[in-house]
Amino acid sequence: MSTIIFEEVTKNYGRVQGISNVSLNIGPGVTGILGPNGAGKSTTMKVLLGLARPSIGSVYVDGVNPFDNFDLRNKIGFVPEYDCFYEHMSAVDYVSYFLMIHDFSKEEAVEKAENSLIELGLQDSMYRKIRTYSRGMRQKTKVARATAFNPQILVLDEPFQGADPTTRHLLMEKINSWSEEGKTILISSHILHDVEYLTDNIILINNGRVLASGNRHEIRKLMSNIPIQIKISPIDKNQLRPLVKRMLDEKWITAGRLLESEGEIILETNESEKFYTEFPQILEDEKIIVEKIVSDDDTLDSLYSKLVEGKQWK
Amino acid sequence: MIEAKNVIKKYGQVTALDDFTVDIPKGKIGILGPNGAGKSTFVKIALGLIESTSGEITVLGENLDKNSIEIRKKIGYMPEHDCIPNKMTGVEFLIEMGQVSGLDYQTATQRTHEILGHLRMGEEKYRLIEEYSGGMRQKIKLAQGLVHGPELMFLDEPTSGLDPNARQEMLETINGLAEISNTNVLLSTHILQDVETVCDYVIIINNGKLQIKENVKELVKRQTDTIQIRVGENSDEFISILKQNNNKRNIEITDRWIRIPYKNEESFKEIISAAASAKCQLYEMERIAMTMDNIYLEVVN
Amino acid sequence: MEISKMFKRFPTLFPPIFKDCSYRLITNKLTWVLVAILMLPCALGLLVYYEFSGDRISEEVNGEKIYYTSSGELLHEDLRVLFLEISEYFGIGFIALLLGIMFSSELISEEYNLKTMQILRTSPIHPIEIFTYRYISGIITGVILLGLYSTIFYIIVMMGAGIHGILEEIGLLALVIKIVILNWIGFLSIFCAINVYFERPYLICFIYWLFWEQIMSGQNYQQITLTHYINSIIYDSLTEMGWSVTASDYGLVNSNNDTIATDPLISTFIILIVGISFIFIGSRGISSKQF
Repeated sequence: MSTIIFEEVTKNYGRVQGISNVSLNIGPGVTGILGPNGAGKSTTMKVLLGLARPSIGSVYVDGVNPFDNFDLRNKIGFVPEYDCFYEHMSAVDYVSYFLMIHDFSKEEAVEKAENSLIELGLQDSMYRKIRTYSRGMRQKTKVARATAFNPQILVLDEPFQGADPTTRHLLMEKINSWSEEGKTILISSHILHDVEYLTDNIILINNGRVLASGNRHEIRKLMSNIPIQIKISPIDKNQLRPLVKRMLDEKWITAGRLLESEGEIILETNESEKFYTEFPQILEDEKIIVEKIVSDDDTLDSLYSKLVEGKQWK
Repeated sequence: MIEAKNVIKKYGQVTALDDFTVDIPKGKIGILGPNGAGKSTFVKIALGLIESTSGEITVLGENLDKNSIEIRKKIGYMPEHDCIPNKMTGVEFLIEMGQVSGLDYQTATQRTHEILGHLRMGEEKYRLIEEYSGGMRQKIKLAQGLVHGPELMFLDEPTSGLDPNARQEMLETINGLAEISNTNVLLSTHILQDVETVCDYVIIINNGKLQIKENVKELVKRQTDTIQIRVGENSDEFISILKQNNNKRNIEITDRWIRIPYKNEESFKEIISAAASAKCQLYEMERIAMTMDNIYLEVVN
Repeated sequence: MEISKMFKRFPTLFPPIFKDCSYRLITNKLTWVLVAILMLPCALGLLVYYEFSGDRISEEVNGEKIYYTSSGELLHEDLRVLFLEISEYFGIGFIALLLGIMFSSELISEEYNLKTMQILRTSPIHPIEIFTYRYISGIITGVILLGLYSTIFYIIVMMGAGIHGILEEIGLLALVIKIVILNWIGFLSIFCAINVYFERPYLICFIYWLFWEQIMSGQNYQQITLTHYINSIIYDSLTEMGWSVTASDYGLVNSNNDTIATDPLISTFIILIVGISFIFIGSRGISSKQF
């Protein structure tokens, strides 16, 4: 079980801001880091990898400062956003090259490299030169390199970039299983949907500052100034109208809207916890069965546009 | 829009398209398939870049074999790779592209500004392309395919590498394209959600054959037989009540959600009453809908 | 990481790194442009041989053919001067320098461009290992390439003087190869270190060579240049071989025209020290460079 702690970390590159006053606590499982280009995602990763030294503040990975720490490097696997290959090598050569740096003997390194590549579905092409690889195969090779020595911490910068859907799916399944093994995984992706599939734990970052971090549902609850909209759809569409009427009797429902064509009602409340607790009982009492209770408000799309783009009333 | 009849394309021994027949309707079409499945071969044939070994293909009502020059005036192409000069301004580049496509200077200028207006490019269109952000570069790439006013626009990975804002904007632009100028769109992408949000129809090609051609809206309306629930406090009590009612069914529990099989409407009733008696918050309850991912993986694997 | 551990992992770590580096160096297009330029004197040598081999006079002594020039001097003594002079521009001169700069850039800068350096810096490999193994790979590749080249060129030039001539002057070939080795040990280390610290290594390497090595050597304080020590060794060896050369031929004089050549053993030692110091300087640069 590995933990990563940022204590008020600022990193400037000359006069250019990397990240500013970032405090984080990342535990085991998958954590998604989201934000626009240039927001500071890669800088955050570089600081925790020990590739960059914080200008102010301190970082602890498993309790130690990662900058220039050798023991830690056996515990962290890194998949950078960009290609980072010796193009003339085959995937097996490439992965085993780095495994030898991790103090495996040549035979062990080749064996581990092959296993790791086969696990990622590259068995047919792993002896071919990387130069001939497609984008998806390149991503798999990078992931194989970062995971072949079984690190406890994985840092994945846009691992799905350019990957075809099959590769994307495979990588996600792998990430899920590594997460279940108790690895600490930090992942960035521009495809919010992918992150949502993998995890509820996110870090939203923009202009070098952390806007929010934690469970996305909890983050939404903290934004108490914006009412939550909940979509409900009863099985019997004749009950749409009575249900809205009944719900508007409660003073904690601030608005109700009827979408007849979609067979849904939308309720708005500032006291979401109260709503979620009492709503099943109300349904029981009124003998109404609903087939859907959802709020699009705490989806990553919605959180992202509210917090990062500042579109609070989208 | 595109009609292919028994198209076969062979590269030496390798058959890229194998007796491929499809009738693609007008509108916004997503074209999916693994690398090397014949997707790009089909697109290249439809664009008139390569010839098929045998079979007939009609694009926008014109036979490709006879009119491959004429047809190009009706087709626009936005390639995946970066193909724009850095040392020109956006406007200069587009006017030049317009002139290459046979427009005179004044018309090309007019078209350029019209298109950049649609794409919501402001004063930055007078800046050098090398200063552009990823999203703006993509817009210029899109605009160069549009400048001669094509009826059919082919987009290859238009959102690749864009951050969420830029991606959203690109998708809105593509939607607008079809609405404002009635351009048909053929979209090839690895990001299946893009197809879900933008396209009317989707075709999936694998092993040189058409696998499915379906209406996207219909496709994603399909629901799976699983209900996903998310509850708050007292979840243990909630789960134990559910288990009593569902002793023969398997309940999947993770710290993120609970999934139980959907049998009939009673399933919902059981969940609601379990939540009511356990007094726990019922944050979410919904039958999981089919996503493009599910469909794609089902078809391709 | 302790030094002992580095030595222990050398046998596993060095071969794959050497394999990668030498492959990249040899498949680099620029290497072959430079090799083509190196081949120019070889081609000329062959041409001269076929044009003028009829003009020479030969004499048989103890079954060996000895060739003389038309003016009656020993032909191999004429040709050896030609070999050394041309080598001083090619195999151990300007072209070799360009090759060294190019190698250093491929070994170090390219790793930053390819972003493989980022991966190496997140892997448990010490900057000294990163630097040294690339440096050694560069030396081996360069020395083999130029050693082979010098030998071929030597044979082509001395061919005119027959087997006797080739064997008679073999000591000169050994000297040139020795200089090639010392050149690479000294200069490659400096070039690689420059590549670590500067964004435009080609330019900086060239400026260093032009202003430091070329202009400073031949002046009063030439002892601070590597060229001084290289020249000292050449000068000393040539005198030993009985050539009539003066210290001023190799610029080893100060403004009072006093010979200031350094002892060859000390020179070799200093070149090695410079090579090793720049390993440390370069490694420090790698470890302090942030991404």
